[in-house]
Amino acid sequence: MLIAAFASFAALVAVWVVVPSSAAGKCEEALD
Amino acid sequence: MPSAIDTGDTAWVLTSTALVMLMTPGLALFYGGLVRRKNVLSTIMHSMFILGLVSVTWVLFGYTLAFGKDVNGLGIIGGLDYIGLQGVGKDPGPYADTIPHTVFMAFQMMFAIITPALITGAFAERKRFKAFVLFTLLWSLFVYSPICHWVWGDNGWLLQLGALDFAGGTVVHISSGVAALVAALVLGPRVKRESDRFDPHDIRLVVLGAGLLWFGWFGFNGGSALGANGLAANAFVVTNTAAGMAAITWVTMSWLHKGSPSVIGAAAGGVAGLVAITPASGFVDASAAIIIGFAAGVVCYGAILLRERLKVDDALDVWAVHGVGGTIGALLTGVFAVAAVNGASGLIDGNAGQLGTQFVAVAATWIYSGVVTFIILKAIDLTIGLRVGEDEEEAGLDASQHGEVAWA
Repeated sequence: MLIAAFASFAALVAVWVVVPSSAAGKCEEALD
Repeated sequence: MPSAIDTGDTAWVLTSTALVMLMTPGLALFYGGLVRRKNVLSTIMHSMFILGLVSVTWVLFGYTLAFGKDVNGLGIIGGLDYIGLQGVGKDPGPYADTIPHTVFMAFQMMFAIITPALITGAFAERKRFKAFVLFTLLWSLFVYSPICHWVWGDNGWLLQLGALDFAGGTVVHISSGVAALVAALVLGPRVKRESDRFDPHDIRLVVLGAGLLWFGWFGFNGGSALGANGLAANAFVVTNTAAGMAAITWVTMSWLHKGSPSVIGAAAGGVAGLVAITPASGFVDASAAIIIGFAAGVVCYGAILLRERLKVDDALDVWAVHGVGGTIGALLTGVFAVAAVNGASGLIDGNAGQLGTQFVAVAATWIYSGVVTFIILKAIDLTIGLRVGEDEEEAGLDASQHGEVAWA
């Protein structure tokens, strides 16, 4: 169970590494 | 011979009672921020009125129906032994050996208050106030008290069956979440013109409300140990762990799905984790809490997408968070319960049958709450009407129902 807990947390970390860091298009929208 | 009062236990459960009380105003802010600015007061008013209403009905008849001596031995409903709190005094009662019966009653009262308040998110922005009052009164009487008796009351049939629900996965969250779904279907969607957006009007209120809910939940789950002991400490830790994991999971889901890490997602995810760990908090360890939080974040987020696809206007996603979150928590309790925590074993501890028992408890709660909620709503609709008029909805319920506005 501990392995499953670590695996689920690792899955989140992996996503954080690869996802874009800012909301696409929202910055320009806010500046407008 | 009556057991001795333990001052530490009594102090903790009294404190927990106050913590759970604070959850209802917290819920008012959470829901109040999620609606449009013209409906913030009416949404807050739902929770605040219930705080008053159920405080009275619980004393008069709610407590005795839930926790009175079982009628006919069937485990369906409590008798009238405690009507008006007769016989509920400063000595311990039948449910907790070391705290006054009045303290146990008051702690349970706060659960009875917040449960119908949870439902109000489903019918926000369109329900007549009078219909809401009547609905709450009838729902507390005919849905909450019976299910509470089944699970926690004297000789309750689900208790006898061996169903595990430490702090209210079935009693509080599935019952209210399913009622919310039925209410959304019976009332129908909010009026939507082309220019209308149903975006939350104040995310700061949402975060503040979620924070108060998270804080109060330590009493909700930790207090359910009914003592200041190791079980309360376990409930406290797994509650926080699951909430944290669900919050970061939900944010990650929104980041993947919509391209940005949602602040509302952090708040909603935390609540989903708190919901899911509720039935499990007295039976599982911290590793299981991480898995339960992860499951809550993924599945409840998915439930919202499903609800949107089905075009059901459960305005503040009560079903997805409480109905689905409660169901996940109740079922996973049957998987992850370990005897080392509180003597009960689930699937991973060699007792596969517990999962079946949990399923029975979940199914019974879904069916009973769904059917009786439908009957109550239809009865109100046929007599005084459920919805405000279209012009009142357009003007906003703050002005049309309460004659006040939040933001001048």
